[in-house]
Amino acid sequence: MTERDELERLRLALDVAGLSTWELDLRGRTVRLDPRAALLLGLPEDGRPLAIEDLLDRIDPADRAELRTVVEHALDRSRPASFRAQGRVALPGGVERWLELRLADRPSRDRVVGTVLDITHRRARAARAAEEGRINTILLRVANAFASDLVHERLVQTITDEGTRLSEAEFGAYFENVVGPDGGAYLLYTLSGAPREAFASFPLPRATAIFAPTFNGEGTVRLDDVTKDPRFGKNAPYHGHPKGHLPVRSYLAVSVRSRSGKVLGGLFFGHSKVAVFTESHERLIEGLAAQAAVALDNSELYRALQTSERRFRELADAMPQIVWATRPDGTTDYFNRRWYDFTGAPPGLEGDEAYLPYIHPDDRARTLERWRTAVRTTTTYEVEYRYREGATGLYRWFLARALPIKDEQGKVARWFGTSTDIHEQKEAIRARDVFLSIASHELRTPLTPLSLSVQSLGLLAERAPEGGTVPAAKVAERVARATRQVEHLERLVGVLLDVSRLGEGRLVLEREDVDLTAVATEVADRLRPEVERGGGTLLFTPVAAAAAPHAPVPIVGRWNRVRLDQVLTNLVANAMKYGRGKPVELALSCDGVTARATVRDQGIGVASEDHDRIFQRFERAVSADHYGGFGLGLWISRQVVEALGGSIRVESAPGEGAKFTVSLPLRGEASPAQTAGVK
Amino acid sequence: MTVTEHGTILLVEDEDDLRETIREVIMEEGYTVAEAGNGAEALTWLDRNPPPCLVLLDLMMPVVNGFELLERMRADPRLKEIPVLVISALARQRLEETVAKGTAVGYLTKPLQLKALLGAVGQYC
Repeated sequence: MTERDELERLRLALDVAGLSTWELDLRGRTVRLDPRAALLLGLPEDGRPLAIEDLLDRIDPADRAELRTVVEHALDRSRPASFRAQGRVALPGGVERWLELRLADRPSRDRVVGTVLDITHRRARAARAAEEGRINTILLRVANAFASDLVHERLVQTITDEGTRLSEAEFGAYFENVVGPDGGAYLLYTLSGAPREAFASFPLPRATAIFAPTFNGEGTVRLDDVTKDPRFGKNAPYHGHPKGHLPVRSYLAVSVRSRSGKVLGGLFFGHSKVAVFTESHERLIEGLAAQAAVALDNSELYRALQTSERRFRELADAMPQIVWATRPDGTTDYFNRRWYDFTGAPPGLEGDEAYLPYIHPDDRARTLERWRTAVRTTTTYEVEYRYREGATGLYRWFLARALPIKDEQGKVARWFGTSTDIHEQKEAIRARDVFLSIASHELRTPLTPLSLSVQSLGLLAERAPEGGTVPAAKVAERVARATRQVEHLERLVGVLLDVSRLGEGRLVLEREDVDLTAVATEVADRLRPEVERGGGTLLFTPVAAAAAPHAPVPIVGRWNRVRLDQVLTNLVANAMKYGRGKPVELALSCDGVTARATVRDQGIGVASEDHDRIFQRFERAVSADHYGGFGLGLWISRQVVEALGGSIRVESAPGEGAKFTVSLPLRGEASPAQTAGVK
Repeated sequence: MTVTEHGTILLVEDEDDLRETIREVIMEEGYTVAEAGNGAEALTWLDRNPPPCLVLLDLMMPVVNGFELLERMRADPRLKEIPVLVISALARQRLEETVAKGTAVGYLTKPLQLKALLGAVGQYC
């Protein structure tokens, strides 16, 4: 093979590889290019040597330094001859070509040879791959954020940041489509690539001509140079870039639209260079906007849900009732604070096991049965049961009600229930029932001898011989008895009237000068025969004058005579009832400020735990099966005494009799609580 | 009218007026009446006297009430055959329960019908 053949073969190989060669002459500091290399570099293909600077001039200034270094090294004979550099060459017609220039060999002391390779396609491929990789990374991050983040503020920051990266913008902003107070303002929301201050110096973007299409959802706006757009700067007062505004030239704006079609906001990107944003940027941002809309929709739903959940909890916690909620299957998963406060239950319990232990054992089966029926038939749940109070260990009556809340498809989404404390009402109803039965018994008690007396008068008349007479003594005795019973009935009816008055807070006491000694004397005289009929005695001890021990001293105060009589009568009657056949003592005392009346018996006594209770309405210390009466005497007495500004108390123990003391101020100021009822 | 034709009736009632009225109307019919103000007094009387022909018994009384007296009489072989007629203002239902337990022969509700009372007394004495 001749040298010529070898050269030809080499040229072929170079042709096939798309390689061209060049050569550096160290002595002449010139470059010689083969025709292909000259073509690639856009230099004349005449084979004449070129100055090194002529070659370097062809290379894009941005890449020139690297090539210069390579050449400098090659010119240095002391260095190895193997270098390479890449650079862009601008060719006519706006074509840009990437070349790789290598210097590979030093065939003689003054020559270095190398290759010129067109790497435009390789560079483009690599750049595309890098760009795709970059975009994929961003999209992956965006997808992750959208899927996992429901917090609006973080979402919009992600959207703006990633949008700015995707579009390769210098600045990015997301403006929420919020109607401002003036009806057309858009709230500046989230920024990327620019400090907030850059936006702070001018008003929120309004629906100016340039922003309008985005906020109105009319489509994407992409401008190579926003300052050249006829819509730019039409708005007073700025006419163009507001002072201090970001120097935006390239402009890309995309609407973010909700599933409902409503424009949620706009994504805006800017760059200080012109024509930065390409169609591919536009498509990427549109894709991002579509995804962002879904994420924002979800976030809005979540926020609405959270707000309604929070409102519900705040409301539920503020309610005096127990509030609870269950899943559609009836599993309780929520109790409000009141429930925890009342039961003392630990937090975190769910289902029937959470509340059943606090329900009275006798009420559990019924409660559970009603609840399961309600859940099965999705009908209103209503039941009364007793809940145990954690603090006291005592049970209280509650009325529980619950309603199923249905979704749009009519399926039960949740059950909401309340449990209302009806203990007082239940007790009041029970007490009323007891009272009514006692009252009817009490009213019937005098009716029986009254009716018998009257009937026996009738019988006497029936049996009297025609035109004859009935014994006057018998008639008189029976009429007297009947009269006594009628008086008894009158007293009872009076008590019932008192109950009604006191219940409505209408006890009005006319104040007058009353002599307690006189009232007590009268009560003692009136009741003594009855005490004695029962085998007991009544000892009355008024305050005696020092000078005349047998002349009782009057004790005069501003009281009410009839009511004072009623109080003393009640106390003596109780002493008689509970200490039948035993001595009863009624005594008076006065220290100049306060008058006292004490009634002491030797009856069954009152246990200390009942000392308060016996003064309450319908209460009695012992069973009504043993001792009749309304259970109202002491309650009425206390109301009267307190209305007169005094007090009543008991000292007693079971089996040791009782001592009731009424204290009354002589001037008779009413206690503040009773003032309203006293004239 | 003689008092020896009939047996003695024990009247147990805590309301003095009622007890006196009943005693009078019954005695007028020629019966002998013994009185007790509560169940305890009645037991004392029963302990010390031959069995009466009838006990007229109020239920709501102090010390030992009518229900308790009925229980004690039923538990005492000497007293359990004595007929007891309950006189009470209690609700019919509770009276019927008491009678149904076999502790009383019957009841009369207050206010009493004189003729019904005398009829019942005549049935047993």
